Amino acid sequence: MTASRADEDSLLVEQFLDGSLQAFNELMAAHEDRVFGICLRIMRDREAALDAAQETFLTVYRKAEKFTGESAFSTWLFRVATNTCYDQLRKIKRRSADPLPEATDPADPQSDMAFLAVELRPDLQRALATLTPEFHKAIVLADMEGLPLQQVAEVLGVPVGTVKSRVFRARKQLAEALRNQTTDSERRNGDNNA
Amino acid sequence: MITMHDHDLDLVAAYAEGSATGAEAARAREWISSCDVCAQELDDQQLALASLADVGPVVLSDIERALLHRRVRESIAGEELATAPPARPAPRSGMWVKVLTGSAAAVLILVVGFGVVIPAFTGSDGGADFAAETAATIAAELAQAPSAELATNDDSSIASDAAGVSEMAPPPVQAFGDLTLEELTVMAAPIEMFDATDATVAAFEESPRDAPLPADRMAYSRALEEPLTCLDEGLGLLDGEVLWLGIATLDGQVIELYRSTPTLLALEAGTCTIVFPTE
Repeated sequence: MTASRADEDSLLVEQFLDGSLQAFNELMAAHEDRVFGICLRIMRDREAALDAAQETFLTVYRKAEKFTGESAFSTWLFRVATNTCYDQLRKIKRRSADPLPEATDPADPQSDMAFLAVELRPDLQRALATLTPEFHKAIVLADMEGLPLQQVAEVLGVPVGTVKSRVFRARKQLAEALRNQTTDSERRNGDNNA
Repeated sequence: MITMHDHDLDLVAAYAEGSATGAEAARAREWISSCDVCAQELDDQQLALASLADVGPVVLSDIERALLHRRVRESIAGEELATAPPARPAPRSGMWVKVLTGSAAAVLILVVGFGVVIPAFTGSDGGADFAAETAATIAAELAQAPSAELATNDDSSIASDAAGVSEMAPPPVQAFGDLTLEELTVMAAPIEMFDATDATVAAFEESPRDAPLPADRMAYSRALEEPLTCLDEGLGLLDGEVLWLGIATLDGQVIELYRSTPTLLALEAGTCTIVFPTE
């Protein structure tokens, strides 16, 4: 995020707190794709991600006065988004025996619409689903959304060193999960051929 | 910090990412060549990073963006109404007189058969009475959305059960099955015409069945089950069958699409102003 973006956000937050809905709309427009991206990575379902993004912006609308300005607005926003997503996942978990949304609904193979094409490969989805929430958050923010480690640390409220450690270990677990799937798949193919 | 042995695995990670400096990279290579743990860690990091490298940036589709804006707008408007003094303006009764009158006129004038467009009506009060500044400002933002994109069911094996389509509540997506693919194509085709010149209209009139809905415009989404404002706001009062088709954008405006036999109605989402048929 550029300094000018951060400055602009700060100004818009001030204007919003002064009663300007236009400022709120501009904040939303500036960050909605990123917020939706984070939500989609965590929720793994476009509809659920849309719900979470909606709740995120409503939280911002309701609680903007709680933004202290100590971090960038985007950092605060991404923290709200991340927390909202995990809250919603917990609700889903409570409602269903199925702990997380199925990760097997990626792009519609009949559609070549670009927005659907960003869905993840099923094997990667499954591998990501094996990560603990802490590791998952870290890898989503750092490796998938490309946030600087410092900002990830601020979003998650942990030291940078912890983020580094989580990202490193998350990648390691991810690689192991991917390899295990390959091995399982090869074993199944071997059984079928036998 | 991460070390499980003598080497700094942070540096291995940085090497895998390509962010290590020249000297650091040289040191990492030296470790990796002589340290099985480092080599394994590098493999893991590279495999994970390579897998994640395929992940493109996520962007909201026009429809998702419109839905997000609408939901936020409506939630905010709802909260404002809940906290506002009781005497809020009544919603657009005047506009709906225009809608009902205009639609009746349109039905009379329209060519019988598969809906070819002709005249009708325009305009409204611009929605100025709709939940205050919230709706107006976000609607203005919605108007900046990219060009027309029709979303509808991609199920080509459509049944013909018409039950429930004239109810006030919008039908669930499954109710798209009330249409044949031919009907859907013909009714959606006018939306295509808005993208082109008037010449396309003539072409459509000559051969309506040659105006297919491009496959890349067809995307099923559960999000389309979202209740549509304009149906709630009065379209359900129209005589005859009113069937919700979906949401789209038209010249940057988010519109709601309905089939009102024998034609298509398109209404600007924020204000429920009819934008098709055109005057």
